[in-house]
Amino acid sequence: MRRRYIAVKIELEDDELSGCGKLSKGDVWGAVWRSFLQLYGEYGASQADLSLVEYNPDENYTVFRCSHKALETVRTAISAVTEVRGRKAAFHIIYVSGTLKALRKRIEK
Amino acid sequence: MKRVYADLHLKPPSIDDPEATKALIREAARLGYSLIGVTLPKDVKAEEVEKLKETCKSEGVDLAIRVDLSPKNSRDLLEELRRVRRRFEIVAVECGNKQIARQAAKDRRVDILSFKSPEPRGRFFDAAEAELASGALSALEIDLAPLLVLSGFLRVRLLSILRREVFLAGKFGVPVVLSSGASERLLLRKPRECIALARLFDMDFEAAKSALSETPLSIVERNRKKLSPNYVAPGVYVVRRGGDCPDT
Repeated sequence: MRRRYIAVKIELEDDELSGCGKLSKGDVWGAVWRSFLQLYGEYGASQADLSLVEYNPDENYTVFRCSHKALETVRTAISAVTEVRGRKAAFHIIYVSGTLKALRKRIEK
Repeated sequence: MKRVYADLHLKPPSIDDPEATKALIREAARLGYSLIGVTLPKDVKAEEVEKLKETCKSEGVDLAIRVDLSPKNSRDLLEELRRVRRRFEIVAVECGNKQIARQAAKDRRVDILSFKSPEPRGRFFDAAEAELASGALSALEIDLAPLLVLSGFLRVRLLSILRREVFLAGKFGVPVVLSSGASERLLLRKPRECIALARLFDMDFEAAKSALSETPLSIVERNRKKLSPNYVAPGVYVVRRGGDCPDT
């Protein structure tokens, strides 16, 4: 099955992660998963094959993996996130790639 | 050539709070917008507009000044249009009732029709409205901020209304403008993300791209031409002035 890797930058209300404690991987995953379930339901979620591959709390970015057919629905769900653990947030997609290696290269650049 | 994206609806909380306005403009520029429309009060001073233009220039974005009219009735609307049309590059009308919606749709001085209510009864973009709007070149504006803020039943209902409105706009050839309607920076999204969100109300990729790019750009370009000192009447422009004009 073909997959897509999505690099996402997380923007928070105060821009100071340390002030209110860093977000955990679970917080980030929960926010996107909730958004996906609200918009596309369990049937849609079952087709997306969505998972969180990595999360960097210091750089404030995360990488998701999904089925290439569900890329647009995942993109919509990620864009629709407005809150993480009670804090206002915005998730911005920075890159989409077919392989994790290529995505990491582009992030490093 | 790189596509130029526009967000014609930034709503800074107050013109007296320059920091919040600056933050909003900076974020819009960072997310990839080249043209932004900022809603200003009707009685805004020229110095304040100049300051805002300076801020936008330093951030590398083009500013179009916009006014949102919320008239009580159609007579009120006509009066307000007479007062503001020559001072703002974008004139949007918040259609609070059917009478205002109809008047706004047929008036060529109105650029954007805006429907704020998430309730089906509070929105008046039906077939008759679409037909009037297509004749007067008014565009239908869809703000994405309510889609992000609402949830559950309210969002479901809003999506269903937007789907119907987008269908009607397509059927009658009414241009659609996708805007953020953001009053804070975390409600802004990148152009590509807005296109993805537009899929929620069945707007296809090309239509959404055009609603974020060609349509808003053409509105601003058209109005700038009209507001320029060289504009005389529809289709008539001064192309040359001074002694080098040939004698007739």
